[in-house]
Amino acid sequence: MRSYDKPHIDQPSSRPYTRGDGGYSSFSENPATPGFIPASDQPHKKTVWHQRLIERFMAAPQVKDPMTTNGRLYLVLAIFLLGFSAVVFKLFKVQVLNHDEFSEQASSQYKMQVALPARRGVISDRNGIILASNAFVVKFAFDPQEIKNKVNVAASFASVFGKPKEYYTAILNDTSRRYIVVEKEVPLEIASKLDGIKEHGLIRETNERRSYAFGARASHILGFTSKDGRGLAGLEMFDDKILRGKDGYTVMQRDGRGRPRPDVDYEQVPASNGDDFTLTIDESIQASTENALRAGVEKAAAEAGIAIVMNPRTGEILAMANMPDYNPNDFFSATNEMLRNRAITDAFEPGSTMKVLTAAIALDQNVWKENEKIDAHGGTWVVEGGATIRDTHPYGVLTFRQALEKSSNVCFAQISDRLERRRFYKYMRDFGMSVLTGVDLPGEIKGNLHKPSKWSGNSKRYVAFGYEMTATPIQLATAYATIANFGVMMKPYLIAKRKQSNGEVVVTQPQEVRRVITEETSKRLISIMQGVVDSGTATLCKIKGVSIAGKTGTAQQLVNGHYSKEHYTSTFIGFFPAEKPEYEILVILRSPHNGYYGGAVSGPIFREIAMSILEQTGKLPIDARAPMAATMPSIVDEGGTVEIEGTILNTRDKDNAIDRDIPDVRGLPMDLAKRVLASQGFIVASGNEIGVVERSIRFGGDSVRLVVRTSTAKEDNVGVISDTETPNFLGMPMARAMKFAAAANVRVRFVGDGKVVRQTPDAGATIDAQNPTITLFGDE
Amino acid sequence: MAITIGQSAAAEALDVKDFDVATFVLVLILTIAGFASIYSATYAAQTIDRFSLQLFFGAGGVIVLLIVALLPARWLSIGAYAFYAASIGLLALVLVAGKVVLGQKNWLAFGGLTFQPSEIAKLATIMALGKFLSGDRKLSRPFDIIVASLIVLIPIGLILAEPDPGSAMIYLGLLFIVLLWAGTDIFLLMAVIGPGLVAVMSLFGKTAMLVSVLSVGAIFFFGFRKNLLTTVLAFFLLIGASFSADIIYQHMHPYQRERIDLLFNPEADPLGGGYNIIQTKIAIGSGGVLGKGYLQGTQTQLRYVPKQWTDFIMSVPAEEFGFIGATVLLLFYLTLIYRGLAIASSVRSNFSSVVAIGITGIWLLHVIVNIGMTLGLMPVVGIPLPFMSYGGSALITNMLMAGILMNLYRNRRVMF
Repeated sequence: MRSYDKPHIDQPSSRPYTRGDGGYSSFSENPATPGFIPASDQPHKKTVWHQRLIERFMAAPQVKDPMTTNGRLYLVLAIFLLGFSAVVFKLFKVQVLNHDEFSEQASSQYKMQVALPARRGVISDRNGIILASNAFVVKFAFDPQEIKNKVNVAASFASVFGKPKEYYTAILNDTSRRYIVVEKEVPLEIASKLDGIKEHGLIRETNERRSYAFGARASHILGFTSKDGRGLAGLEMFDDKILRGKDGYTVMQRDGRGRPRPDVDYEQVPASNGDDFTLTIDESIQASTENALRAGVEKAAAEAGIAIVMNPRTGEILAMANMPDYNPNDFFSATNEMLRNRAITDAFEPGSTMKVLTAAIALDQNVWKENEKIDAHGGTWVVEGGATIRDTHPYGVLTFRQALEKSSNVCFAQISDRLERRRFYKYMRDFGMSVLTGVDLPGEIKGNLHKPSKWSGNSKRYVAFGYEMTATPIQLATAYATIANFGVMMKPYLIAKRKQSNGEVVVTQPQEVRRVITEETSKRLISIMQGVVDSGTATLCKIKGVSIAGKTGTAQQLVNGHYSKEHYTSTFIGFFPAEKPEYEILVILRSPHNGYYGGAVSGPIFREIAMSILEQTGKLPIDARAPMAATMPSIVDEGGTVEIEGTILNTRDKDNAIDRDIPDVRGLPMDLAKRVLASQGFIVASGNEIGVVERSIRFGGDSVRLVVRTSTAKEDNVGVISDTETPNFLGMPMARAMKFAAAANVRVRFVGDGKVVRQTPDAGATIDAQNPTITLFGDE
Repeated sequence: MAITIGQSAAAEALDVKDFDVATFVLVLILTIAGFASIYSATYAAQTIDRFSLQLFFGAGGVIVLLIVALLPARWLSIGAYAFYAASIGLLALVLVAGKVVLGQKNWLAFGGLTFQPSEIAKLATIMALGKFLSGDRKLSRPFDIIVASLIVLIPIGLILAEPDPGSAMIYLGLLFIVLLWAGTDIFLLMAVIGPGLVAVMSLFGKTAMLVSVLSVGAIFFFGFRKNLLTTVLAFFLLIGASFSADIIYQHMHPYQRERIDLLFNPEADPLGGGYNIIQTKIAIGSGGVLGKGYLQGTQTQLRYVPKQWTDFIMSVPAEEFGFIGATVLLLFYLTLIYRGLAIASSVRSNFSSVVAIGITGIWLLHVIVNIGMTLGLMPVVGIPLPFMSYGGSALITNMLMAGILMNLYRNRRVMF
């Protein structure tokens, strides 16, 4: 059945198709031009295996088809090969020639750099109480198109945020927008209540925010940060870079739908967290300072108040407070007046407090004897040029010592007359006047003290009692600390140490600036300054059994070019114990309207702060505890602090109640405090069980007020008390540890005195039923 | 052992040496390469059920292949017209009761199973052409050419109605190859193909249009040396085609027009229609010479190429095994097609020859068009890669074709 033109030619005899010897010339009309040499043509050569493989696979049958006879086979083959060549060429172009370009496009598509944010350093006080840390806040947004169960979502939000359900329903029904922020800055613990909602349309964005555990406490020291984590004030600004650390990053893969996928093979630069700062600030002293200052400012109706507590031995600032203050968690609502850290940014004429420095110079120069007499001219002395120097009280003849105790301007003008002006100026500079102290805070100013070449005839006299010059509170505090440190000035500082992210701790060493006066001069001066408190202008500061040295200052403020009779700067700077000063306290009230003498308005604040410090360190003499009603401040609520008007009654022995000590229950949870008080025969007439006792105030008799902090923000040293675990006593003064042990129903044994530095068994260990006694080791 | 041609009884007997191992092994290699590629493409997507389903179809396909390969010689030609009629019926049915997928109504559903009749209709058309040309036909006769063309044009019409222009293109290519193979006057073929070529080229712009008209015209003038009137007529045909191409383009289906636009400039719409081509080219291009390693292709594993396991499966081996891997794969295809061509040129009967060249042509067209579109050489027309793309209809049909080719080889000496 031949159908095509050229008949098929069988060649069965000459070239039989046999699989064994292979035939290759199936596409060839001419058997003489085969692609391969058939094995049959070379009968003596044995075919090798690969040759046989090729024959087996590629050898087409020898049978000729009529359709191929007109050369169409080659045409078709050519067309086929052309198609393949085109594809291979294009493949070569894309994969080999343009490989780099496509590779780059690929990696730019799938490589995704993700920032690993650094943790901002935590700021804590000298005892490790955290003042500034980081908290997570959540932002909730709706994509109404994607939210299926709208009723459920609206109900959940309404119950968590307390807004009406309709508020959320209205937002959920607005399907025109795909991203509507509904709640911002939601703390994590509140946000977690909504974890149950599994809707793609509920968008949660978590951000880290700076959190200040005590609200306004130490706000002027700490400062605050912007929402994106940049320090804007205070330490947060001063050491922003160190606190912030350095963000790291990781490279992730992103798939075709834009979803990230972690890939271990890709580079990762870990974040370098910010350094953790430990301040010289003592949170409890800071709290007392702020409370006392706030109360004092209110009582005196002052425009502002500044208080600094310093360790003159080292320059450590233990507390620094300003009124009015602000809450750094909500710094937006603070006014500029509230934000100012006046302790370093406000310079004003210090007034009488400068007399101490003048006296120091006079004694150091040995141009005045302590008992040398000076005529106070009855309080009014007309000097060259017709100017009059006045005293507030008329005095006759005073000794040098009395001149300082009574704070006579007339006398100090005369004292300065014996001082060579350049020498006087150099001393003043050495005391730090018109020189920055270099404290670790931004915005410090250096005040103003003109060079002697610019002085008028009376300038030295005015500077001698604190006019015609300005100084900041930190400069005054540093100058007084020099005297308290027996003549050696220490650089004031706030950062005790910082722990770097690699674990290395950088400890600030106290820095000696210079010796300004001799030790002998300073000791003589301190004894005169003790007289100021004992019998001079600051008798209100007295604390029985504690030797305090100090000086008052009542300076008229220059208002519109005239010294005002309404605006005063009322100062008291003092330190104790006078024999070996450990604490220096500066209190300044600006424009008090309810009394203005430094000794009268600032002195009691000093006393209050000093009392708290002594109380907290356990150094308050027993007989000093009876307070003067006049100086008892009213405690104002602040942040998470509430007062519980629980009166403690001694039911067991009512008559002797007055003489009994109220147990120290500060720092104990309310329920524990009640048990401690009950063990001593006191009962608390209050139903409140929540909170931590911050302080107790006794109003004579048997009436004591407990101030209880209900805020949960503070990390307490109290720890969890369980019946089987050893409580943590570390850091507690012995007396408190004993009460704590009593409350916790554990037996303790003391070794040494002072604060507990070591305990066996360790905190958290199971109490041995056979030997339940815990041994506590004091540091003294 | 020498087998004498013409011993039909002996040829019809089952002989293990007549089993076409070459075709079988090549088909298995390509199918396994397809499995591996689908596994990689669905690996990250966790849609491994696709892979299992493809394995199932592959196994079924091999059984079909073996059965068909071992069928008696004449069985294939006996049912050819009935097969053709049935598939035309299915193509018509799909227009009435078909399922619309991606704008094309080309799926038939039977219970839970779906398949594309246009796949099986390709084979049916080839068989019918073979049957038609197996008699004493002379394709130099205009009547025979018209009937042969009609056999192909009927399914083309139905497929265009789906509309599935990609498949229609394959049918046209098939018709061209078979006509060329069966001895149609080449001038006549050129007179048909030439205007088509010019029409396509004119879509690329005025320069391409002018060059193509002149070059095809030159072939007419110098290549065939027909009389002047015929040549001039053919030349006018070319010019007419080039102008009408633009008019046709204006009346195209919008998505189809978009695909053509995107072929010329895929970056114009990187997030829309051009996305596929861009992503596929990135995947292939970033594979480089040696590739990124199996299951290591970033673009594949991160699922940048949408529905990669179907038409764009070539981007998987190209990315993961590079230019070397892709070229080796292409060589396997080339070998298979060469094998088909060898069989087509060596079988005794015309039916066998036409069917073999048809099957080979279909494979060639699929490979060129599929990889061409993957590389941006051709419009994205939805043509699967034989043996490799995910899809039961295509895999089973291809296995069936391979089985028929092997059957033809086994019965190459049979004259019927």
